[in-house]
Amino acid sequence: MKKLSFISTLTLLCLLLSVSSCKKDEAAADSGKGNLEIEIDHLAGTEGLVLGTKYVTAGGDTVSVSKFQYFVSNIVLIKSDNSEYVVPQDKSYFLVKESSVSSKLLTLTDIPSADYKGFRFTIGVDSARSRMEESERTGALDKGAAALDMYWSWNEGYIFFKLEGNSPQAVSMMDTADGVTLHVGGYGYNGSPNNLRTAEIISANGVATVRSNVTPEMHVIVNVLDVFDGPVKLDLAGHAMTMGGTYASVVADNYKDIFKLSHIHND
Amino acid sequence: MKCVCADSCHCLTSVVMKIHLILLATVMVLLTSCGKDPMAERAFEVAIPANFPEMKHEVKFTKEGFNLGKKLFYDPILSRDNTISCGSCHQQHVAFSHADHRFSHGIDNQLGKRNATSLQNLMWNQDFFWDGGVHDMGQIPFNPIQNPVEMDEDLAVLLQKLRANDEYRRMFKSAYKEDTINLAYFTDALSQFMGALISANSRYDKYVRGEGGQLSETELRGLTNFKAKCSSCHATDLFTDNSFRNNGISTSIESDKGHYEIVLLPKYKGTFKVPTLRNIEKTGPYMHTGSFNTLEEVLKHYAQGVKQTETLDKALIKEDGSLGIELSETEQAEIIAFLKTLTDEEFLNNKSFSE
Repeated sequence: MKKLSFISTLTLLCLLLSVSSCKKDEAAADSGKGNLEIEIDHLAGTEGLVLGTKYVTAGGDTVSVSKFQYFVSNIVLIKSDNSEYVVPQDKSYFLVKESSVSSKLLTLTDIPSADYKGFRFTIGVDSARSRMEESERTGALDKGAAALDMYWSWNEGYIFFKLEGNSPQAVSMMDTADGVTLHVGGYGYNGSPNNLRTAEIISANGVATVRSNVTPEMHVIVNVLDVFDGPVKLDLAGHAMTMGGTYASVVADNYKDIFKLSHIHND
Repeated sequence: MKCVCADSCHCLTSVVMKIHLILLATVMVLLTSCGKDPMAERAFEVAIPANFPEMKHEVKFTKEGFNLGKKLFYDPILSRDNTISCGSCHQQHVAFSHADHRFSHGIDNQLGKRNATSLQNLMWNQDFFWDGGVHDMGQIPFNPIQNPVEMDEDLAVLLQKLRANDEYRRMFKSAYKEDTINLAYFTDALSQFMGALISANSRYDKYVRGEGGQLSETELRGLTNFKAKCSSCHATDLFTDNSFRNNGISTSIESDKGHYEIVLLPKYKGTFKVPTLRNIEKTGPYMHTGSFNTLEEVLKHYAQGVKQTETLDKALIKEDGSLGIELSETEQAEIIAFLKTLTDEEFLNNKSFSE
């Protein structure tokens, strides 16, 4: 009832002001729901990331990437009036993999019609979900399928972010001498480091107009070389084998800022 | 109490499990007879003393789930080359630890780096494994299954193997009323079997519960000494306070960092979970390093073998700064006599837990 009376007041207000094309008006008139797509492109510099290709990092290391994947979860959409829509928990876990085209298109369904200027999300899997019964760990979180290589069974919890590859600068204790392994997890169990990071992407111009008949797309770009070039320029010589541990937090601080909005289109 | 028909009529396939938690918590695994009265033949009945602490992980039991869990526990199909089962390194006659093995050999005869722990009273554990890397019952099995030197199996492949097996398809369906084999059901079944591994019927238990168990003069002196000198860590009738401590077994806290690897807090370097002492007479070799073969060596360690390292537990540093626990040879012998009263023959010989 409250919502209805709010909508009618708004409509009345618009009528009174004789505003002919008010976006808010349009959204309010469409009281239904729609979908929103988030498409993620992985780049190396300005070009598309090509697995196995050699790149040079900000720290001067040469690196090629063989695997690049991470969890996107707990998405909160931000409307142009700064109010927020929290995507329901059960529909808010995605595992993005460079090797899987379909995984790079995140489709959010049943989103209230509104104008959205951006979103906020967790890189990783929150502590509550990390401790849930196995039956609550489905879809992207199923370690028997999608999340097969994204779980630490020795240190209960998901691997939030995984970048693997090779670098001549890498000095590894393992037999793969030039192997680069950056695995980050850790949700802060019992005082341990919390490597969950939140990213926020806000559009400087243009909004995604979700309507029952309009499914906008937000295009997000991720420059994989930015992982190596954050608050700390990653030093592969010393840290090529990062599987959790203290350096994982350094990597997490770097990758929390790699997500950039390229553009939005509403057609 | 024994199931008289265990071998002749496959009554083991109809274990009925119920948990009663009224005042005195009672866990019963009931074996039905082939006849009409399902209560007639009890495999065992475990009464948990009133001073047992609060349960940390509750498991819901069904007879079908327990049976499936038991089959999985003893099935080498869980390992990459179908050679290693959970039961390979967790043997019932030694309280589901590994008899005579300092370290267990897993797949391709690779050795692990820590002594296989016993499996008992798991529902009262806070964290699992020596380093406390697992915090939920349901996540226990994935650790050894995925460990490259233990079972080294890929979970997707494991599911394929189980799904291709008619017997498993039948048992999963019977347990979960759905023609589906997934990790949720898989781990629930194993939790049911492992959760049912409750040891609380030792002579000591029967003594403290006033059920007719008698302790000798020596054992009683051992109990008194134990309470004074050991129970700050080996607390409650679970004989562990679930904490992580450095007990001075190693000269280095870097060689195996233990709980530190999980929480990355420097104070935990070289600390390991305080183990239960139930059935301790049977569960040697002792310590996470498996360094001691006898309880005499263990007590001697605490009396005069404790090694100084940065994170050594405060309880092992005397007021004058010297290390260890003040224990005369007589006191050591008495404590050992007491510890042997924690042996639970009913648990060690319970057929409903056997392969």
